[in-house]
Amino acid sequence: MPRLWLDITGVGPGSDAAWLAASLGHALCDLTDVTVCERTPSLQPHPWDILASRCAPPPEPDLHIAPPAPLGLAQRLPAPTRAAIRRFAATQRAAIQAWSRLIRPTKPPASRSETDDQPGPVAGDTLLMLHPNGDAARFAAQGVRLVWIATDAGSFLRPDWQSPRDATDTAIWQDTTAPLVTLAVTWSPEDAIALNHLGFTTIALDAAAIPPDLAMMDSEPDCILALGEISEAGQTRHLLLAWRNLLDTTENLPKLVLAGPIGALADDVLAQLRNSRMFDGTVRLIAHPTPAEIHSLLATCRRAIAPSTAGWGRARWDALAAGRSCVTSLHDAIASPQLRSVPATRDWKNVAADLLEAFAQ
Amino acid sequence: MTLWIDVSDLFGHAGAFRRPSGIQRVIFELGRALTETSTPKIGFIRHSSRLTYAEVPWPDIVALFSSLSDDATPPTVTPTRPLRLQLEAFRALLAIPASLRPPRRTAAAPLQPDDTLLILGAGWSDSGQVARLARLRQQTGLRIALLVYDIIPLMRPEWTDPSNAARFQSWFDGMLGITDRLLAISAWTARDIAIHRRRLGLPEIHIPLVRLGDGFSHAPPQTEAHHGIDGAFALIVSTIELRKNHAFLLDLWQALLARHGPAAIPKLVFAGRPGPLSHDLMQRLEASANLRGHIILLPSASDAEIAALYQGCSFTVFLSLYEGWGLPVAESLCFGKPCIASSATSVPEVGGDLVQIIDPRDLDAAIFCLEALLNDPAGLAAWQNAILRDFRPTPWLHTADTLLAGLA
Repeated sequence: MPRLWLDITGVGPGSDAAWLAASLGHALCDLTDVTVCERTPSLQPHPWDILASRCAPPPEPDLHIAPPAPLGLAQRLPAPTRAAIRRFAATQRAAIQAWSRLIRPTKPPASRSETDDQPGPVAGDTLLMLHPNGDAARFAAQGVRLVWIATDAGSFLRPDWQSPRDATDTAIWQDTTAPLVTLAVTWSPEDAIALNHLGFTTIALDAAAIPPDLAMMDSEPDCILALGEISEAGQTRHLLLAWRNLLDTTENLPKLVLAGPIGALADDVLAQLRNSRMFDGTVRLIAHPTPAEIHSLLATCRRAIAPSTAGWGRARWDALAAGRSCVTSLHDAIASPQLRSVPATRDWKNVAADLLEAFAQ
Repeated sequence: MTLWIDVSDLFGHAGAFRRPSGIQRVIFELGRALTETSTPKIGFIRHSSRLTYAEVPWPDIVALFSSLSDDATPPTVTPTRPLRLQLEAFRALLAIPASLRPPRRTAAAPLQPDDTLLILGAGWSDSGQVARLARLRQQTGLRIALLVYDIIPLMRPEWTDPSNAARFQSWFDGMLGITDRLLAISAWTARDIAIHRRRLGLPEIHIPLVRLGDGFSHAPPQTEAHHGIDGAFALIVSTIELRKNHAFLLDLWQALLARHGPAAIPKLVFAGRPGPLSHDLMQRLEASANLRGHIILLPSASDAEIAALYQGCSFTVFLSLYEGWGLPVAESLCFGKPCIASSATSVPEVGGDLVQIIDPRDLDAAIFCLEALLNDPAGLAAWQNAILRDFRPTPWLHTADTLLAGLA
């Protein structure tokens, strides 16, 4: 029976793509046979736990700033004492366990024992790639159907928002593998149009929010919450410029909380935060927040904003699921009227079903 | 009464660098203009030991500055070298003019209580300056005047390394305590100083403005070099750093290329070396192959090459986010070239009606402005003609007169 392979090669720890892979992968698992795999360096099947552990955040950036008050499971790491590292590791484990419980498939992967013996996709199988994969051309030649889950089509379309190495890989991948891709899946009509112009057969699906776990935590009441990647594509540089202007012209500004994974080309943004001591204490960085932290922040923030022009639009779904409006960039698909009718209760099972239906067509 | 100008910074800079920066050029041009004024008496001093200042003849300063501007390599002495190399260095030291050597057992300058000492240099890089000047002021009773270019490290600490920002603050706050007259090169810088004084609880004071002269007398002949760039191009002459907003220009050119294609868009030349907080931008340029060759980096262009670039470009852009003045705008006008300049901080003070001002954060406005310019070659030519007809460079003599009036 043809199988679905979920390829998480290149999906960084704690990234939005990792959360998407975990959510979508487990939802797909309830509907069909799925094997998680990764190129290390050849494509290898992985145990399912890899999805949960990949969602764990990497170490925090060292900003040489006194840590803020602890915020829930992913407690910020203060000075790297042995005890602190132990405590941090414990909370990481707790986060992974909590997440694993939450997203555990309702039925275990039926074909797990079979796929463990199968080294990789074979003719008739479908390979779902979240990131450009160097083996894809080889699999296409073997009759494997390639589907690209374009979690970050915006960056794909803007090489100057990637590191030079990633940009080179993307260019090579576009030249060699893109013509072999059967279907590209994006989460924004704008990206779908752009990818169609590049020759991909692309569909745009509505994503869903990452489900928070059940614990409510201390938060930043009345803050301006900026959700999304800390990066050039995430527009953090522009956001800090705007914030500095507000600091000059406005009294009693609320705190700005930057909550998101640290992405590409963020060195100078982090340097600015460091140089200015987080803009006179008016900015707080929560790098690689857990869904629980985001949910908690959304519950009490004054306003949520998502300036990013890249990614799969997670911020808007998280905000809608928490019952909060979110100011997004014009690029973001939330500006599209038809998306406003999508219920905020949409979950990943809907997304998985839509995806399988698209395959069938 | 004598107006003394501290040129220690000029000599310190010459010992470490081969080319003058903007501040050294200002010291020289202003010094030269002041020597041409009839009153008061002008003298130049540099600190010769920890506590004393020695007088420097003006011809020595001219010789020093000429050697810098001519790209000559000043001989240096490195005491840790082997004996043979030390001897060679010693011979080289003997070969250079006496004025360029470190002063030794020099007689102290004849400073009088009714004299004024004008500080024009980058004193924040000299950790002992404030204490030295405080002692000098106490011993002689002279007045100290400080010309302030900008206080960006205090206003925008995020763009400065924390140690440099701390050093600058220590220097500037120290200078505020011993300075009898503050002058600023722009209304924006005067405004920033007033804000900072309020933060410190200091009383409001009048800060006279001293508009810098346009152009430099030691600019090299403009026909010596060729820029070597094919086709039309726009130009920005500036260190590449976050504050100068090159990333915005990259976004702007990216948008123009996406809309109109490479054939319709001129190349963009970044003439300047990478400076602070430019790492991400350089990565972006590398990742996009300099926007597929549409951006040209010239990190080490000589003065002659810069002049050739100014002469050869269609127009210049300077969309900096924060400045104390805006030298590239003035330079552009001196070369008769239209400039699209930033509306931020002091930049609009430089060019008046002869430059086009846009918000350096508004990408849509910038796209609109550039598209209008590129679609109207006749308009661009008319703009250039208006500059050639109407632009009147501020002479350094005028700057000197304003300075003297501000000190009075």
